Amino acid sequence: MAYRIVGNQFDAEEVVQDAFVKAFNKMTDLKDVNAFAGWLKQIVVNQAISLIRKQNRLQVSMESIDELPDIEEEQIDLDWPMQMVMEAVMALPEGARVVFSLRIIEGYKFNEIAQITGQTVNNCKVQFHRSKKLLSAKLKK
Amino acid sequence: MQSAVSSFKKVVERQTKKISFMHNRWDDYFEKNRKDVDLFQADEDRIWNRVVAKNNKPKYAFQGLAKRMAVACAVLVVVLFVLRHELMMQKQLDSLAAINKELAEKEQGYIQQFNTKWDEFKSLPSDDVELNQRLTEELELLDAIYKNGLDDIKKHGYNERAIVIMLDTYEKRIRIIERLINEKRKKQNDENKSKHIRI
Repeated sequence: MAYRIVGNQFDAEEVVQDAFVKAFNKMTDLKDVNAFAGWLKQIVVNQAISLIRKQNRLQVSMESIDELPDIEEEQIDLDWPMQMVMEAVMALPEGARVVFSLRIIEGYKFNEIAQITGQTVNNCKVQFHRSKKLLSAKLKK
Repeated sequence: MQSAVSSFKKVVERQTKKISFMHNRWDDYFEKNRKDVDLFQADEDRIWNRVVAKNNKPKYAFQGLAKRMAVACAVLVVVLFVLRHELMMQKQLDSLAAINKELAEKEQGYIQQFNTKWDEFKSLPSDDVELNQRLTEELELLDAIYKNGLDDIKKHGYNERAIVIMLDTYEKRIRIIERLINEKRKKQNDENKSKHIRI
Protein backbone atom coordinates (compact mmCIF):
# COMPACT_ATOMS: atom_id res chain seq x y z
CA MET A 1 0.00 0.00 0.00
CA ALA A 2 2.80 2.41 0.91
CA TYR A 3 4.53 1.57 -2.39
CA ARG A 4 1.34 2.28 -4.35
CA ILE A 5 1.02 5.70 -2.71
CA VAL A 6 4.60 6.94 -2.71
CA GLY A 7 5.58 5.20 -5.96
CA ASN A 8 9.07 3.99 -5.06
CA GLN A 9 10.62 1.29 -2.90
CA PHE A 10 12.93 3.53 -0.89
CA ASP A 11 10.23 5.94 0.27
CA ALA A 12 7.76 3.07 0.79
CA GLU A 13 10.15 1.30 3.19
CA GLU A 14 10.81 4.55 5.02
CA VAL A 15 7.08 5.14 5.37
CA VAL A 16 6.45 1.65 6.71
CA GLN A 17 9.29 1.93 9.23
CA ASP A 18 8.11 5.32 10.47
CA ALA A 19 4.53 4.07 10.64
CA PHE A 20 5.58 1.12 12.82
CA VAL A 21 7.63 3.34 15.12
CA LYS A 22 4.68 5.74 15.39
CA ALA A 23 2.33 2.85 16.06
CA PHE A 24 4.59 1.53 18.87
CA ASN A 25 4.73 4.93 20.48
CA LYS A 26 0.98 5.48 20.21
CA MET A 27 -0.08 1.97 21.10
CA THR A 28 -1.92 3.27 24.16
CA ASP A 29 -4.24 5.26 21.86
CA LEU A 30 -5.59 2.02 20.41
CA LYS A 31 -8.75 1.19 22.34
CA ASP A 32 -9.91 -1.90 20.43
CA VAL A 33 -7.30 -4.57 19.66
CA ASN A 34 -9.47 -5.89 16.81
CA ALA A 35 -9.12 -2.55 15.06
CA PHE A 36 -5.32 -2.85 14.97
CA ALA A 37 -5.05 -3.61 11.22
CA GLY A 38 -7.24 -0.67 10.20
CA TRP A 39 -5.49 1.61 12.68
CA LEU A 40 -2.04 0.67 11.38
CA LYS A 41 -3.22 1.02 7.77
CA GLN A 42 -4.44 4.53 8.54
CA ILE A 43 -1.05 5.43 10.05
CA VAL A 44 0.72 4.09 6.94
CA VAL A 45 -1.57 6.08 4.62
CA ASN A 46 -1.12 9.27 6.65
CA GLN A 47 2.63 8.79 6.78
CA ALA A 48 2.82 8.18 3.03
CA ILE A 49 0.65 11.18 2.16
CA SER A 50 2.60 13.33 4.57
CA LEU A 51 5.83 12.33 2.84
CA ILE A 52 4.62 13.15 -0.66
CA ARG A 53 3.06 16.38 0.55
CA LYS A 54 6.38 17.29 2.17
CA GLN A 55 8.07 16.65 -1.15
CA ASN A 56 5.38 18.78 -2.80
CA ARG A 57 4.57 16.00 -5.23
CA LEU A 58 0.81 15.98 -4.82
CA GLN A 59 -0.14 18.49 -7.46
CA VAL A 60 -3.38 18.65 -9.40
CA SER A 61 -2.01 18.52 -12.88
CA MET A 62 -4.57 18.94 -15.61
CA GLU A 63 -2.25 18.76 -18.58
CA SER A 64 -3.22 16.41 -21.38
CA ILE A 65 -6.47 15.26 -19.74
CA ASP A 66 -8.55 16.86 -22.47
CA GLU A 67 -6.51 15.22 -25.16
CA LEU A 68 -7.61 11.77 -24.06
CA PRO A 69 -10.86 10.25 -25.39
CA ASP A 70 -13.82 10.42 -23.02
CA ILE A 71 -14.77 7.16 -21.34
CA GLU A 72 -18.48 6.70 -21.32
CA GLU A 73 -18.31 3.31 -19.69
CA GLU A 74 -15.44 1.58 -17.98
CA GLN A 75 -14.26 -1.17 -20.26
CA ILE A 76 -12.19 -3.49 -18.19
CA ASP A 77 -11.26 -7.05 -18.79
CA LEU A 78 -11.35 -9.02 -15.56
CA ASP A 79 -8.67 -11.27 -16.97
CA TRP A 80 -6.11 -8.57 -17.59
CA PRO A 81 -2.92 -9.65 -15.81
CA MET A 82 -2.42 -7.77 -12.55
CA GLN A 83 1.23 -7.13 -13.42
CA MET A 84 0.17 -5.18 -16.51
CA VAL A 85 -2.56 -3.24 -14.70
CA MET A 86 -0.35 -2.33 -11.74
CA GLU A 87 2.44 -1.20 -14.03
CA ALA A 88 -0.06 1.12 -15.71
CA VAL A 89 -1.29 2.33 -12.32
CA MET A 90 2.24 3.01 -11.10
CA ALA A 91 2.98 4.91 -14.31
CA LEU A 92 0.12 7.35 -13.61
CA PRO A 93 1.00 10.90 -12.58
CA GLU A 94 1.45 11.25 -8.79
CA GLY A 95 -1.92 12.82 -7.92
CA ALA A 96 -3.91 10.54 -10.18
CA ARG A 97 -2.10 7.44 -8.88
CA VAL A 98 -2.67 8.37 -5.24
CA VAL A 99 -6.36 9.09 -5.70
CA PHE A 100 -6.92 5.98 -7.84
CA SER A 101 -5.10 3.74 -5.33
CA LEU A 102 -6.94 5.15 -2.34
CA ARG A 103 -10.34 5.07 -4.08
CA ILE A 104 -10.25 1.76 -5.94
CA ILE A 105 -7.64 -0.38 -4.22
CA GLU A 106 -7.95 0.80 -0.62
CA GLY A 107 -11.67 1.58 -0.81
CA TYR A 108 -11.67 5.11 0.61
CA LYS A 109 -14.52 7.50 -0.22
CA PHE A 110 -13.84 10.78 -2.02
CA ASN A 111 -14.46 12.89 1.07
CA GLU A 112 -12.02 10.74 3.03
CA ILE A 113 -9.40 11.03 0.29
CA ALA A 114 -9.89 14.79 0.21
CA GLN A 115 -9.34 14.91 3.96
CA ILE A 116 -6.24 12.71 3.84
CA THR A 117 -4.61 14.46 0.90
CA GLY A 118 -5.67 17.99 1.81
CA GLN A 119 -7.30 18.55 -1.57
CA THR A 120 -10.89 19.40 -2.38
CA VAL A 121 -13.38 16.63 -3.17
CA ASN A 122 -13.71 18.05 -6.68
CA ASN A 123 -9.96 17.91 -7.23
CA CYS A 124 -9.96 14.30 -6.11
CA LYS A 125 -12.77 13.49 -8.54
CA VAL A 126 -10.91 15.19 -11.37
CA GLN A 127 -7.76 13.22 -10.53
CA PHE A 128 -9.78 10.02 -10.39
CA HIS A 129 -11.45 10.70 -13.72
CA ARG A 130 -8.07 11.49 -15.20
CA SER A 131 -6.55 8.30 -13.83
CA LYS A 132 -9.30 6.23 -15.45
CA LYS A 133 -8.84 8.00 -18.78
CA LEU A 134 -5.10 7.45 -18.70
CA LEU A 135 -5.45 3.81 -17.67
CA SER A 136 -8.01 3.09 -20.40
CA ALA A 137 -5.81 4.75 -22.98
CA LYS A 138 -2.77 2.80 -21.86
CA LEU A 139 -4.34 -0.63 -21.35
CA LYS A 140 -6.31 -0.66 -24.56
CA LYS A 141 -3.19 -0.11 -26.66
CA MET B 1 -18.87 -32.12 -36.28
CA GLN B 2 -16.01 -31.61 -33.84
CA SER B 3 -14.79 -28.57 -35.66
CA ALA B 4 -18.33 -27.12 -35.61
CA VAL B 5 -18.51 -27.63 -31.84
CA SER B 6 -15.08 -26.12 -31.38
CA SER B 7 -15.89 -23.04 -33.46
CA PHE B 8 -19.22 -22.67 -31.59
CA LYS B 9 -17.31 -22.79 -28.29
CA LYS B 10 -14.93 -20.11 -29.53
CA VAL B 11 -17.83 -17.85 -30.51
CA VAL B 12 -19.47 -18.32 -27.08
CA GLU B 13 -16.16 -17.61 -25.32
CA ARG B 14 -15.61 -14.49 -27.40
CA GLN B 15 -19.13 -13.24 -26.69
CA THR B 16 -18.81 -13.98 -22.97
CA LYS B 17 -15.51 -12.18 -22.86
CA LYS B 18 -17.01 -9.24 -24.76
CA ILE B 19 -19.94 -8.98 -22.35
CA SER B 20 -17.59 -9.26 -19.38
CA PHE B 21 -15.31 -6.64 -20.97
CA MET B 22 -18.13 -4.17 -21.45
CA HIS B 23 -19.68 -4.17 -18.01
CA ASN B 24 -16.83 -4.51 -15.57
CA ARG B 25 -15.59 -1.66 -13.46
CA TRP B 26 -12.27 -1.08 -11.76
CA ASP B 27 -13.85 -1.96 -8.41
CA ASP B 28 -14.84 -5.35 -9.84
CA TYR B 29 -11.42 -5.92 -11.30
CA PHE B 30 -9.62 -5.32 -8.01
CA GLU B 31 -12.29 -7.22 -6.09
CA LYS B 32 -11.67 -10.24 -8.25
CA ASN B 33 -7.87 -9.96 -8.31
CA ARG B 34 -7.23 -8.62 -4.82
CA LYS B 35 -4.90 -11.45 -3.87
CA ASP B 36 -2.48 -10.43 -6.65
CA VAL B 37 -2.47 -6.72 -5.93
CA ASP B 38 0.67 -6.69 -3.82
CA LEU B 39 3.19 -7.25 -6.56
CA PHE B 40 6.06 -5.74 -4.72
CA GLN B 41 7.26 -7.72 -1.74
CA ALA B 42 9.49 -5.77 0.57
CA ASP B 43 12.31 -7.33 2.52
CA GLU B 44 10.48 -7.77 5.81
CA ASP B 45 13.60 -8.57 7.85
CA ARG B 46 15.35 -5.43 6.69
CA ILE B 47 12.33 -3.25 7.45
CA TRP B 48 11.82 -4.90 10.81
CA ASN B 49 15.48 -4.46 11.79
CA ARG B 50 15.32 -0.79 10.91
CA VAL B 51 12.07 -0.37 12.85
CA VAL B 52 13.69 -1.93 15.91
CA ALA B 53 16.79 0.24 15.47
CA LYS B 54 14.71 3.40 15.08
CA ASN B 55 12.62 2.50 18.09
CA ASN B 56 15.67 1.85 20.26
CA LYS B 57 17.49 5.02 19.27
CA PRO B 58 18.13 7.24 22.28
CA LYS B 59 16.84 10.01 20.02
CA TYR B 60 13.59 10.20 21.91
CA ALA B 61 15.31 10.46 25.28
CA PHE B 62 17.49 13.21 23.86
CA GLN B 63 14.48 14.93 22.36
CA GLY B 64 12.80 14.81 25.76
CA LEU B 65 15.92 16.26 27.35
CA ALA B 66 16.16 18.92 24.65
CA LYS B 67 12.52 19.78 25.19
CA ARG B 68 13.08 20.08 28.94
CA MET B 69 16.16 22.24 28.35
CA ALA B 70 14.17 24.50 26.01
CA VAL B 71 11.43 24.89 28.62
CA ALA B 72 14.06 25.62 31.31
CA CYS B 73 15.65 28.27 29.06
CA ALA B 74 12.28 29.87 28.38
CA VAL B 75 11.54 29.96 32.12
CA LEU B 76 14.98 31.48 32.78
CA VAL B 77 14.36 34.20 30.17
CA VAL B 78 11.00 35.04 31.77
CA VAL B 79 12.57 35.08 35.26
CA LEU B 80 15.36 37.39 34.05
CA PHE B 81 12.83 39.67 32.42
CA VAL B 82 10.77 39.85 35.62
CA LEU B 83 13.94 40.36 37.68
CA ARG B 84 14.98 43.23 35.41
CA HIS B 85 11.54 44.74 35.80
CA GLU B 86 11.75 44.35 39.60
CA LEU B 87 15.21 45.91 39.71
CA MET B 88 13.91 48.88 37.79
CA MET B 89 11.14 49.25 40.29
CA GLN B 90 13.62 49.40 43.12
CA LYS B 91 15.41 52.57 44.14
CA GLN B 92 18.76 51.45 42.67
CA LEU B 93 17.77 52.93 39.34
CA ASP B 94 19.14 56.45 39.32
CA SER B 95 19.90 57.09 35.65
CA LEU B 96 19.28 55.76 32.17
CA ALA B 97 22.77 54.26 32.25
CA ALA B 98 21.58 51.73 34.84
CA ILE B 99 19.06 50.26 32.39
CA ASN B 100 21.31 49.03 29.59
CA LYS B 101 24.62 49.59 27.83
CA GLU B 102 23.11 51.30 24.80
CA LEU B 103 21.29 53.85 26.94
CA ALA B 104 24.39 54.29 29.07
CA GLU B 105 26.40 55.20 25.96
CA LYS B 106 23.71 57.58 24.74
CA GLU B 107 23.45 59.28 28.12
CA GLN B 108 27.22 59.57 28.44
CA GLY B 109 27.38 61.19 24.98
CA TYR B 110 24.75 63.79 25.93
CA ILE B 111 26.49 64.52 29.26
CA GLN B 112 29.82 65.08 27.51
CA GLN B 113 28.19 67.38 24.95
CA PHE B 114 26.46 69.33 27.73
CA ASN B 115 29.66 69.63 29.82
CA THR B 116 31.57 71.03 26.84
CA LYS B 117 28.85 73.62 26.29
CA TRP B 118 28.69 74.36 30.00
CA ASP B 119 32.45 75.06 30.10
CA GLU B 120 32.03 77.30 27.08
CA PHE B 121 29.15 79.14 28.77
CA LYS B 122 31.15 79.66 31.95
CA SER B 123 34.23 80.81 30.04
CA LEU B 124 32.33 83.70 28.51
CA PRO B 125 32.49 86.71 30.81
CA SER B 126 29.12 88.00 31.83
CA ASP B 127 27.61 89.77 34.81
CA ASP B 128 24.06 89.20 33.61
CA VAL B 129 22.34 87.72 36.66
CA GLU B 130 19.07 87.30 34.82
CA LEU B 131 20.67 85.05 32.23
CA ASN B 132 22.17 82.78 34.87
CA GLN B 133 18.86 82.72 36.70
CA ARG B 134 16.97 81.68 33.54
CA LEU B 135 19.45 78.93 32.89
CA THR B 136 19.15 77.56 36.41
CA GLU B 137 15.35 77.59 36.26
CA GLU B 138 15.16 75.82 32.92
CA LEU B 139 17.69 73.21 33.96
CA GLU B 140 15.74 72.56 37.17
CA LEU B 141 12.57 72.04 35.13
CA LEU B 142 14.35 69.53 32.89
CA ASP B 143 15.78 67.78 35.96
CA ALA B 144 12.22 67.39 37.27
CA ILE B 145 11.03 65.91 33.95
CA TYR B 146 14.00 63.50 33.95
CA LYS B 147 13.21 62.43 37.52
CA ASN B 148 9.53 61.87 36.65
CA GLY B 149 10.58 59.59 33.80
CA LEU B 150 12.84 57.64 36.13
CA ASP B 151 10.05 57.29 38.70
CA ASP B 152 7.71 56.08 35.98
CA ILE B 153 10.18 53.34 35.00
CA LYS B 154 10.65 52.38 38.66
CA LYS B 155 6.91 52.06 39.11
CA HIS B 156 5.84 50.42 35.84
CA GLY B 157 9.04 48.88 34.50
CA TYR B 158 10.84 49.62 31.25
CA ASN B 159 8.85 51.75 28.84
CA GLU B 160 10.00 53.35 25.64
CA ARG B 161 7.99 56.56 26.09
CA ALA B 162 9.69 57.46 29.37
CA ILE B 163 13.10 56.76 27.84
CA VAL B 164 12.36 59.06 24.88
CA ILE B 165 11.20 61.84 27.21
CA MET B 166 14.30 61.45 29.40
CA LEU B 167 16.68 61.54 26.45
CA ASP B 168 14.79 64.56 25.13
CA THR B 169 15.63 66.47 28.36
CA TYR B 170 19.32 66.18 27.45
CA GLU B 171 18.66 67.53 23.94
CA LYS B 172 16.75 70.45 25.45
CA ARG B 173 19.54 71.18 27.98
CA ILE B 174 22.04 71.37 25.13
CA ARG B 175 19.78 73.61 23.01
CA ILE B 176 19.12 75.95 25.94
CA ILE B 177 22.76 76.33 26.81
CA GLU B 178 23.63 76.92 23.14
CA ARG B 179 21.01 79.64 22.98
CA LEU B 180 22.34 81.29 26.12
CA ILE B 181 25.91 81.08 24.83
CA ASN B 182 24.75 82.91 21.69
CA GLU B 183 23.01 85.53 23.80
CA LYS B 184 26.15 86.04 25.87
CA ARG B 185 28.23 86.37 22.71
CA LYS B 186 25.78 88.79 21.17
CA LYS B 187 25.79 90.92 24.31
CA GLN B 188 29.55 90.89 24.35
CA ASN B 189 29.68 91.96 20.71
CA ASP B 190 27.21 94.77 21.38
CA GLU B 191 29.31 95.95 24.32
CA ASN B 192 32.48 95.87 22.21
CA LYS B 193 30.76 97.85 19.44
CA SER B 194 29.52 100.51 21.84
CA LYS B 195 33.04 100.81 23.30
CA HIS B 196 34.39 101.42 19.79
CA ILE B 197 31.75 104.03 19.09
CA ARG B 198 32.61 105.85 22.35
CA ILE B 199 36.27 105.93 21.39
